[in-house]
Amino acid sequence: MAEALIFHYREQRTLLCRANPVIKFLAVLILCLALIRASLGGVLLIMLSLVIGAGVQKLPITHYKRELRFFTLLMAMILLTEYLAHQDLLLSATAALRFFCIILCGMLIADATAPDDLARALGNLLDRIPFVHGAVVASTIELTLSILPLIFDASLEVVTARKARLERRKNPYRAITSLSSSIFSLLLDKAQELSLALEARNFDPSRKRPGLPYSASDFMLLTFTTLIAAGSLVL
Amino acid sequence: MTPNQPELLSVTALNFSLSKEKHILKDVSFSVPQGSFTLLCGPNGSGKSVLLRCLKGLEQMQEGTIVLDGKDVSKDRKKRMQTIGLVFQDADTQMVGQTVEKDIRFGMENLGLDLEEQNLRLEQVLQLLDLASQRSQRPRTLSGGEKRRLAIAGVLVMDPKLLVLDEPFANLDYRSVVSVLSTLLKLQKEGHTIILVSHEVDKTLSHADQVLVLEAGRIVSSGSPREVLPTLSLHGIYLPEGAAVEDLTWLKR
Repeated sequence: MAEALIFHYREQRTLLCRANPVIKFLAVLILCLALIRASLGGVLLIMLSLVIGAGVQKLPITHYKRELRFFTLLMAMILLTEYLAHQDLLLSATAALRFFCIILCGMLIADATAPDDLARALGNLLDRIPFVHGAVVASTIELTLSILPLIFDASLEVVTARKARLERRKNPYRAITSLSSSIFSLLLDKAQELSLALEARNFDPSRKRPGLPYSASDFMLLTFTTLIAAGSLVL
Repeated sequence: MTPNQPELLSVTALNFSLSKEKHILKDVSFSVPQGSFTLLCGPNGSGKSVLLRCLKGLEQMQEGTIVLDGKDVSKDRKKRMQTIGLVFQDADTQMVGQTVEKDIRFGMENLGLDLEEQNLRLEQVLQLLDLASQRSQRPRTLSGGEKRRLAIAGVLVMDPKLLVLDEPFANLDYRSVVSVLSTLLKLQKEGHTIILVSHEVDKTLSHADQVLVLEAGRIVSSGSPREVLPTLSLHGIYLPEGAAVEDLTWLKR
């Protein structure tokens, strides 16, 4: 169940899902750079395009309820502190909306990009840099992603088992130390099993794995993003 | 399995120790005919899992000979790794891909197969193991039986000559056991050679072509299910009272 909480990717037949992760990453970078210099009109233009993107992607806002509460609070804090600093409502609103756009970018990327596809795309990119083993970096990221749910599930197992045995420790230091050693011990066992399973399937971290190919979707996404960014700087 | 099939695997005097005092496997010898279903059973701690790992090449045996398909592969660990498929007991720790399809592709990518070959094998295995409708699903959201079938699929696409499964029915409910057992019998009908490790012989004994009983690191009994049946309870293996070989399956229920 930890998997459902950590990874938000949903496979869909949309432009955003089909695009190469590196291009999506580039698009986010372009928009973020434009957001730095854009006025309120520009920020609103970027926000509108992101909201339309979220609509096309059918972003499940209700799944992000807990996170959105936290981000809304942060947005309110930004609005307040900017207003207190500059006494300018428009400036404060721009700063808050800027933050909102960055969060929405992140949500769209998480929803439209499989983490392992992103790892492979980055690996293939890094491979072009001399002395950098991009394939190893990509394998490390992919393995970490597959281990993360194991870590959360193992932690939950240990905590639940202790609760069931009515464990109550008043000393937080002792509680954390005791819990950590159990979780670590369990994780080592699971890691060893995973390592054997990987070896049994002839895993080689330095082997280059195919990533998503570049396509017309990437060109369209990049063009669209660049036009929006340029438009936001003009407004 | 038709009688008098050639031997696919022959193991002679396999010894494995953790230290001078701790001998795990002692002079283990057996053979496995092509296309057969071999049940390797024994009480907990008898060395079953270690034997599988030695066969696969994950553990280094101290002595012994392993002949696979007529070739001595005792010292050729790489060959054993490529030709013997091992499915571990815990399906969760074998899942690497973010989706069922990606998890199955993982092994083929490790073998360096081209995309066309990967796609062909993927479709065949998805149909064979009834996972086609779950191809885009996250592996950890599958049921117990589906996870076990996925683990088998991930190994099967690598086209092993010998498929070895370590306690494939552990922690599965009745329906999942039936699903996995039916899948294994289907694979055997397709010509795969299977070694199945399980101490729960009441689920599978009637389907086995031969049974090997391992206790304290030694093969203490071997033969057809009928030959071995009277001795099983003497070696710590549970059997329903008065059960005949034909009764010892979960597919009949």
